[in-house]
Amino acid sequence: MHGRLKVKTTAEQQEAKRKEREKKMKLYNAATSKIFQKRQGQEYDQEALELTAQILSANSDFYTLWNYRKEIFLAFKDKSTEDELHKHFEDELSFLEACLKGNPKSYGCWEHRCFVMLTMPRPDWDRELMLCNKYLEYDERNFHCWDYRRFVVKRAQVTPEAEFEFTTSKISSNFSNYSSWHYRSKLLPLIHPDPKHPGGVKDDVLIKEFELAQNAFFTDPNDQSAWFYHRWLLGRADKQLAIDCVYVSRELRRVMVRLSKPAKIGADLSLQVYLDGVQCIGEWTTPAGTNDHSLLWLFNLTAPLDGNEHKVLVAMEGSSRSCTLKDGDEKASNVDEVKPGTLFSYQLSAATSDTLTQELDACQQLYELEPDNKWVLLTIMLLMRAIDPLKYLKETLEHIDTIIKVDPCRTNYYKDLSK
Amino acid sequence: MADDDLPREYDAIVLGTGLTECVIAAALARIGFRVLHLDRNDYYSSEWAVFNFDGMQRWIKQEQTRALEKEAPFSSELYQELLEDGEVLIPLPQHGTGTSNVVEKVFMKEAPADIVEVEDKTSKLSLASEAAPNITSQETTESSEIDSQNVDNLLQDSDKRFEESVVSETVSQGDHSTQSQGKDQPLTESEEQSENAKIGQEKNEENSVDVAESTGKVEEQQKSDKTEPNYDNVEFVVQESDHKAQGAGVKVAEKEPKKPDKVREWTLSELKKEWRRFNLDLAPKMLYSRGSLVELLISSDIAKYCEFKTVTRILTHLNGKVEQVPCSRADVFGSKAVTMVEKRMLMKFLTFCMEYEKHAEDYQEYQEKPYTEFLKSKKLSATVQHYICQAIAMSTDKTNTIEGLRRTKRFLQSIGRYGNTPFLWPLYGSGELPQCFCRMCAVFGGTYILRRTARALIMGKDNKCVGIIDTEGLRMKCNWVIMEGGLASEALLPENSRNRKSSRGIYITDKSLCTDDQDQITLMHLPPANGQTDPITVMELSPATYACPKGLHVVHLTCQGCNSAEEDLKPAEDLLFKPVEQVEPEPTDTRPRVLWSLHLNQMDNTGCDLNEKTPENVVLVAGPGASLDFEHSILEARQVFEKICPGEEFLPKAPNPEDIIFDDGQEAANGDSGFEADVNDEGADQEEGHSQDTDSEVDAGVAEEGSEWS
Repeated sequence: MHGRLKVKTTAEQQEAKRKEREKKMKLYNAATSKIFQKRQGQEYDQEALELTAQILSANSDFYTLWNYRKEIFLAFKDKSTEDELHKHFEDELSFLEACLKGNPKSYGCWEHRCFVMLTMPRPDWDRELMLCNKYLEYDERNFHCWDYRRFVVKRAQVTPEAEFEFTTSKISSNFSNYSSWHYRSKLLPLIHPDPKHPGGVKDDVLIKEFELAQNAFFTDPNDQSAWFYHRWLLGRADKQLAIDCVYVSRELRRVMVRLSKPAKIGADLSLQVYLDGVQCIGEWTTPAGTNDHSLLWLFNLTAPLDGNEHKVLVAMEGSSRSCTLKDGDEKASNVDEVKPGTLFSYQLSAATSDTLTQELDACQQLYELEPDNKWVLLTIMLLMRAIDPLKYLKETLEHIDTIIKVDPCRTNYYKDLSK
Repeated sequence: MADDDLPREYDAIVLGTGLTECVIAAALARIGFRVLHLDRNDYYSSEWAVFNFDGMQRWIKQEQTRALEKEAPFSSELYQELLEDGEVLIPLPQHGTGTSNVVEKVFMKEAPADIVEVEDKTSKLSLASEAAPNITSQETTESSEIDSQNVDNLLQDSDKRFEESVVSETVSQGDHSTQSQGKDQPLTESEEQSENAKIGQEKNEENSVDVAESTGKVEEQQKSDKTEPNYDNVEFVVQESDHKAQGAGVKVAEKEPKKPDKVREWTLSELKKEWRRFNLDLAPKMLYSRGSLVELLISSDIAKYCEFKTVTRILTHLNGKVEQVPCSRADVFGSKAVTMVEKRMLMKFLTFCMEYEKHAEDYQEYQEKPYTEFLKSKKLSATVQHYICQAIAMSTDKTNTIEGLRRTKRFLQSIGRYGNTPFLWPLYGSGELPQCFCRMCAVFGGTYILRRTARALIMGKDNKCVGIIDTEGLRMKCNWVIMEGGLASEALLPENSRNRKSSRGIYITDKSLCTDDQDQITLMHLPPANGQTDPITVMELSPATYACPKGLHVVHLTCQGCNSAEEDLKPAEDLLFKPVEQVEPEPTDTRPRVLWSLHLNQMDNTGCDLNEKTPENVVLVAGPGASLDFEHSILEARQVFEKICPGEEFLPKAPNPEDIIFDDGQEAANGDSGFEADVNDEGADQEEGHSQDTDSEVDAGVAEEGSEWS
């Protein structure tokens, strides 16, 4: 028809595109080899910055080039005035922003930004915070940005309270956000520390957090993020690290301890062994021989144990337990008395047992609406076990059966839980 | 281009610039049709138009004149010499209008010092409009003075303000003044249009001279004013600085709740000074984020000509209170109005609605029964039932279950694409949208002339229309005529086409229906009142949409018309607004006060087959109708296009300028200028956040979030 636009056909377009790509490829390769040459020759100049900028704006994941730029800036640092340097770094920040626009999840970019901010003479941390806000508005789950934000917050001296508010606003716009929930769990103990439990959170604040998590999982019980946060809230009264059991074997010349929770000796705590009042020197190892978190730890005594009575004392900060190997005995132990079935209830503190009951009630309500939701079932079981395992034994077992049917992939995990 | 140069032969002549006509015009031009697009008015968008306060005053006067004027008898002899053998004329009415019962009311004092009682201006209207020309020019002087002062005061304020200062220049340059105010992307294109439309523009140029003169005066006045700033300005700036504080609070962490608004007492003269800051729609409509108009704007790339904001909340009237309806996942999570269990029940039901077709067994026995009964059977609480039925499905007690489910699903499907509600609102008013399509049509060579229409259709021997006689007495040949149904003569219209009408009310109010700390764009539905079967639609626009100046809100009420708009909307007004007759309202009454209102009825011909009696190459299309969305219009445009050129692609994306092959000189020149404009615009139109934009942005995952319900 008359007047109709004539447009290139697909084949023509493709050919044009292919040529275009080829041309770009040549330029890219030429620039790259030039850059490597310059780097080899330790040329730290404006041209190098320009060349790398060209490549990086097309491909911001090219680590080596970021490193080269770092070298260039460090070289500049030695020979420029503060103002010149500041200008260079300001330019670099805008360049980074342009790169991040194209690739907001580039490790290289964010990392380089940290370098710039730490190296530049007069960093503007508040502006960086705004930048983070902007990027988290585009994508509230960009963990690269969350990471960078924490880096900035430390230096911009933002109060934990303000950050807590920030997580609240992010959660209310979309609560499927692990980064926000996790950040909350780190901030709460700082803002509302519980004087009774180091690392804990005040009860009244906790109740509000429980409510928030409930709001999330009643809205969408299949969303894991709130359940994980809920679990963190429940598990916060983790029992104190203590020595639950000391065992001594005369023949093996060995001391074994069982801790109240898995820990890593040397990192989480230090344990000393005293044999008849004299400190022994030696290494702690796990039964598996690894050096990892463990409930059980072994210590080999260097001194031989003769047939007489010996007293072994194992001590840590704030707690100790001793065990007497009687004359002629092969072995001896000192175990904490534990009422059967209450072993796991220690996971949650008595102080919040009212809260636990309330949480159980809420979950039971949700269970009636969502009888097949694994997160509901799992949480109910955890709560029952925390409150009174014996009272709820029958129900717990039934729930185990259901949850295994609903989520067969984790059958063994649930079986372990039921033990 | 003088009339002499105007081509006399077209593939299609389109009469009226309502949305449907414009979409068809664009689609035809896009595939190479020679299109002539006429509108008898001096503004675009016909019954869909949007006006500033001044433009609205002119429109009211025009409508009232048209309603009174008598049609001059048509004498075909005048045109005999233009006709060929066997041709006859079908005259088209020149004064007929689809609009009736236009009533303006003012509930403000005239000026700050006046102690005049609140008055009903209706009776005085004709008097006032006689005096209008003088008043207008005076006002222009005053308001441009205010503007420029404010711009000075607020130099550091946001871009928006900067744009507005640019705009005031634009207006004084005299581009069609009713159209381009408050826009930031006016001109490459409309220059081209105005070339085509010069004839229609003469009057505007006259106006513009006035404005230009007055700008000269302004400077003098400004100097003298500087020593003694007047009270109004001071107050305005205070409001602005308030806004500034909010703007700085971009750090969400520091978000402080806005101080409770001190409601300003407005007077008519103050309001008129702000005339440019109003964008009042005659037929406001919202877009479903996944509706056919959004898809069309994206697929045709016309989206680059327009800007949107997401509708921010859905309100409802429950237990005597206006409250927010939680409809997205985030809303439900954050809502304090429902219990935990209700949250679950609501979410569960909404999830079910997303794929209700797959669970026929669940609703089968309720299919023909009312939706409300089905909701009850689902053990939903009364509150949740109300939310779903009234606010989400936008239905009534009588709506049946299958229809209720369909509407609920449609609502849910559009949530989460651009925001927490399913709807988009076009910035500067929904009357902007027809113009975006005109622009595309003009890029592809369409010719636009305002203030001109067809005097008569020329019918050939075989009952086919061969062209028109335009109002300048020119004969224009064409193969197709597409026209706004409201412009057709009785002879062309089916009998039932004038039976239905919609009732509309436009209100300028002093505060929001439900005040909180944000600038909201609101949608709400009220149950039908006397005689109606469909709910009443309530839209509230905050200054953030550029519908009105800061400190004011614009409310639109729409319902199907049984009586006059005034009568039909009275119950809704009583519910939403402070009683107007009460000078000292109850202090506990937190409802907004209406400062100004306009009622009108529009013919609603969306429900009938308009083309029963038309010749086969004359197509009538419907006006806006009472519906909330644009679905009817887009569907109709597609159908008309398919009828005219079966099998052709409907508004494909304009090709990349690089891919166009120019092989003859004339075409090259044509296409070239069009596309240059096109490309230049692209950069300027990039919008952040809410606007739904081209692919590249969608790919970056910035604009589009993807439906949370699917």
